[in-house]
Amino acid sequence: MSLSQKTFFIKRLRKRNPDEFRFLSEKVVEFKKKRKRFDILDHTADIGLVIYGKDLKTLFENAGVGFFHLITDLKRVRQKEERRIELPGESLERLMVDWLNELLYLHEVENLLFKHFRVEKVGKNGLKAVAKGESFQEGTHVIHTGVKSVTYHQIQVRREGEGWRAQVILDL
Amino acid sequence: MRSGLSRKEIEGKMKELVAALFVNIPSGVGSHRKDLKLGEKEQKQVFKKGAKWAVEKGYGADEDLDHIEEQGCIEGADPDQVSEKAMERGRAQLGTVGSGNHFVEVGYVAEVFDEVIARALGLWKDQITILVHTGSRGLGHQVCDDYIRVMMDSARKYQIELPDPQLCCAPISSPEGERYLQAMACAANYAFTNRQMISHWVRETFEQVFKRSPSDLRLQVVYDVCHNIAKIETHTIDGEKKRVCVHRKGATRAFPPGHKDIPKDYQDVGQPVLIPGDMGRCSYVLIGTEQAMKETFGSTCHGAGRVMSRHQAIKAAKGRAIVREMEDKGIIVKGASRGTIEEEIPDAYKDVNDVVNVVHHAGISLKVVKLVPMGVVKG
Repeated sequence: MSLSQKTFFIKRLRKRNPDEFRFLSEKVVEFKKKRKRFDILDHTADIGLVIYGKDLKTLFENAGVGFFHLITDLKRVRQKEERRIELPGESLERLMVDWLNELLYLHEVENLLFKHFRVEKVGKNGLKAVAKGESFQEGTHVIHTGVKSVTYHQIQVRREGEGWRAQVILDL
Repeated sequence: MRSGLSRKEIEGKMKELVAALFVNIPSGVGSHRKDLKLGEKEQKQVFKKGAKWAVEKGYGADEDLDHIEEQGCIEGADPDQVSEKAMERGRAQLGTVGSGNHFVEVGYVAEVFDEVIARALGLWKDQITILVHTGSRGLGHQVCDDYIRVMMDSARKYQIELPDPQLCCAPISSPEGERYLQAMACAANYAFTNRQMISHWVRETFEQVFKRSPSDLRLQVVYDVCHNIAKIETHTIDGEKKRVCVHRKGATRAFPPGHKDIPKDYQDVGQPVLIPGDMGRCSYVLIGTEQAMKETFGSTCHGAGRVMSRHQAIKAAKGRAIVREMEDKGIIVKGASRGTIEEEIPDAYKDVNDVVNVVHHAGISLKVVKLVPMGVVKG
């Protein structure tokens, strides 16, 4: 269905059946809210990420996406290379900082940009994950901002409602 | 750095100069000089020797060292206290500017506030100057990250209560504290080396663009000073001389005339203090004072400071051609990416004039000259 066709059907629905239209649009908003992976938190000298996830695995995956979303335009990054990441057991807060620092390390040393993450295991016993992306290429990729380090300042990883929420401040 | 050039002599050459600086001094993701390969052994020498390593390798001259804090080498560096990861991050980035607020800037002396001191520092009206702002890059951050993990445990061990985990710490004389200072010295020496190499490439670029000899261009280091560092110093507290650890974070050392730790050439006037502003307004050279020794452990401000978050800055820059705006003001800007230029727009910073006036009137450092930018290379 083309975009103009979609618009046509949506308009027709709104006109003919306003109640159902309202019901459906609320569902869409709810769905989008549930799917929201992260928010950017304003901080004068630095920048923060608030990350959401329905479970811990998704939370850590979304943290990776949020992190590289700040650095680059992910639409231009392809999944050409992958790296396995394993981290030892820590508190969840420390594990979150370690995870992002590990990604930053790979970004700096190997110039990698990651866009897809699969966390196989995460918890008090550590983390096992695969990150996919490709090397930075001048002309193909853009850099929005450079991250210097991931800090422990105001770090939070906690349950919220039915899911998880984390907060991390990055030094830029 | 100061030069033997006046503003008029480089008119019309700025675009070419900035473009050449951008090529010769790596900035941006993954960029580094193809002619620089740093092995592990060499890197350890960088940690131990600091800027002297660079001079030995042909980057600049011995006399540069006389105008660097601690002669470009802090004592006590122990490479064994630096992790493999930090070493790796450092190897890839030696001789690079980096992103964020780091830059290389060509400007001119727009105003002289103290003729006598300016002359002692070799600065004069309309003279071309170069400011280099960069540090220990990813290596410093990795050292920090490694030791934060250590310090989190030691804070527990020494029963130090923390309002925020990032503030974790240990007593200076503890094994953890000592090891940290040895690792920090490595990072500081790496930073001195980094700046020394960049200064050398600035000189080469000027020679290349203006086709003039080094003795003609007279590009000399005025001073090189740290913005974030902990130093063991002697200060008078309640009338008593004490050895203390002064941690300057977002602060610059500002020692007075006659202090043993400042260069011979500057003994009569005091230590030069470099205060970068934003890329559109100006920067300052100040001088350290006795007042600073009395009131602020010989310290002053280190820059303008942000008023807008980076996110806000990028929003404020949306739809604006920042590079063109700057060019209209007579400032040529070249950066590795649009994003890193936009987050550094002048509006994102406090007016450095206000900041400098505060420290000047408080007497913790005094205005010597004002520098106005003409060309900026951003990471």
